[in-house]
Amino acid sequence: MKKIINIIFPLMIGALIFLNIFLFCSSLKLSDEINNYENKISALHRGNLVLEKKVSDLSSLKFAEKMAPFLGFTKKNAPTYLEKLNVALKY
Amino acid sequence: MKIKLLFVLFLCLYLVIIGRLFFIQILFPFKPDKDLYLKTVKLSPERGKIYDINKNPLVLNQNSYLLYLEPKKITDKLKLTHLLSEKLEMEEASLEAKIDQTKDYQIITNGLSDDKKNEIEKINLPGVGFEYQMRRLYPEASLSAHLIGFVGKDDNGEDIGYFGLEGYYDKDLKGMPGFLESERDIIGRPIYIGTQNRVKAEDGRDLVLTIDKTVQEIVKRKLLTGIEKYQVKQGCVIVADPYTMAIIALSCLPDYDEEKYYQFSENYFKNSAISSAYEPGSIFKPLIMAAAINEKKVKPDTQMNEDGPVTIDDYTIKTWNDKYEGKISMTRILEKSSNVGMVWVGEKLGNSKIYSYLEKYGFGNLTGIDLQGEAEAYLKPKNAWYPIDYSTVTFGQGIAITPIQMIRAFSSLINGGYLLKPYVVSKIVSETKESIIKPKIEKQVISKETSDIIKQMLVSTIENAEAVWDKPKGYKIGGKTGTAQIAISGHYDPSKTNASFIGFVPADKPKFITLVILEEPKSSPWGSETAAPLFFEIAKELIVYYNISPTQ
Repeated sequence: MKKIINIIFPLMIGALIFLNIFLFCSSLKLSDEINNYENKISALHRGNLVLEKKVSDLSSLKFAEKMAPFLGFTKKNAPTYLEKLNVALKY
Repeated sequence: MKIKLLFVLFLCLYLVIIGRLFFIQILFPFKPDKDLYLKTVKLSPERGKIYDINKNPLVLNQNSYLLYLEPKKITDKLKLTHLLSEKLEMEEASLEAKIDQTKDYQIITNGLSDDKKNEIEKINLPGVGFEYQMRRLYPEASLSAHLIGFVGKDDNGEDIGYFGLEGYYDKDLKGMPGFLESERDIIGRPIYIGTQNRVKAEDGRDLVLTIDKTVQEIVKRKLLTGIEKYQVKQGCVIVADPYTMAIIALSCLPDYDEEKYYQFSENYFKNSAISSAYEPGSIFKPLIMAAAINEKKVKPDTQMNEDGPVTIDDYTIKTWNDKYEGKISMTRILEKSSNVGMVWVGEKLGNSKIYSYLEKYGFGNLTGIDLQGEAEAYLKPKNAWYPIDYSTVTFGQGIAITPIQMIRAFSSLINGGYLLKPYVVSKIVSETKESIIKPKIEKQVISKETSDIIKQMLVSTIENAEAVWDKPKGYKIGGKTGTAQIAISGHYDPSKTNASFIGFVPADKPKFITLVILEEPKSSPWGSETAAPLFFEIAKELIVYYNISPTQ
């Protein structure tokens, strides 16, 4: 009986110490992961905002106005209303 | 012997632990600094975004950084002020004077962009730090400044919306902050087996407007040209759907830059379309005419004798050009905008009915538009009205109303008689649901038949008007010009006027109604020579944009 206890007791102590160290290391690893994901989410969100700005800049009327001359839309291409001629003739 | 020694050792250890616990808990209780291990962080929600009717962004959020200094950590103050002032475009001397090396923390500036932050980080200056913030981004710059409003700070330094939509929908846009309570180790990492409470922040709701960015751009561009051309003090244009009173575009100039709102005085923030009362002048005439037709007091072809000025008490009322045509119909009264004719119509309608119709059209009450800063234009109580007031109100003088009240009342003339609540937001979108805002009919002011009659009279008013306009050909357009003298110190100054025009296209089933108001035009005081041409300029572009086919 005494022999069995002498074997089991140190084994249990050893197992408990190992488990504690394992849990401690796991918690450290998980903490790092939590931290890592928090930072990644935040970076993604910021990246999203930057992309959103780029998309909105490209779809803005300011950008369209800037691009119009390069695409051949110039003041010369503005429609001429024919009824203006009538007004000019009549008055 | 060995066991006894081990026992004594353990006993001593236990005694030390018990002694230490007694010391910590009983003799000198230790109050731990909660922040050392239990970190509570406020999670700021993202402010809601604002889109136009086609989901084009009008307001977004952007990364922004607050730059702070920890003066005690600064090693070379001269180098820091020199480099930082260069990057921040600040005066070196003022930056140097700002730095107080006895302090632990000092805010230098905020609103820095990602690029600027990266630039400063690259220099690697000790004692310089950044705090993340968010700021509003306006992809279309100040296209809709008065509509949107701006985000400033309250007394506690928290973001708060002022004016327009930012002010009116501040609670919806702001969202609910969350918090994170988390046990952290000595280097700030969360302890997995410790407390980890996270209440997620609820982001602000997004707003989808009834505003069409393209129409807004057309309106603002044309208004800007008009203001320069007619040398106007300030001007406003409102475009709305007369059947729903959804505002399609609203622009008042001069306006301000929402991003640099702090560089403008408060006068610029006021949205004249909803906050300023003015005397409408002749664009008011159709409202009284419709009331008289609705009460069956007159018909479009009823004749009256316009044989000269009329005298009410001590006042003489003339036509705008002091010319009189003798027998004229009700339609002709509107066509030639006869004040004398309108006084006759007012007498037919009766004082009591005039007042009751003014109330029915919603004057004296807020329209309830969802923009912050709407002014309640005052309608005098009935017992304070003199006979002359009942006469002048028939042609839009002696009554003060806001432009939004005017366009709402006028819409009721052409939409079958319904007075509707004007609105700017069509949808409020949160993470979980989407609320659609529907048009709201408040009351029926005139009958459908009256509405059809007055619509035809307004078409005739444009077709047979005394002024000649460059109108889009093939389209039936209804409308009315207005020129109201401005009252200064108790009398009207004939040289200072509010010129206006209200019109709708196409007349049979209007797609849009537009009100143009120009304050104190210098090129000509008349609405027919300033506001009306501007209306037709805008209408031409909107006809193309909405692809409205000609009917004539």
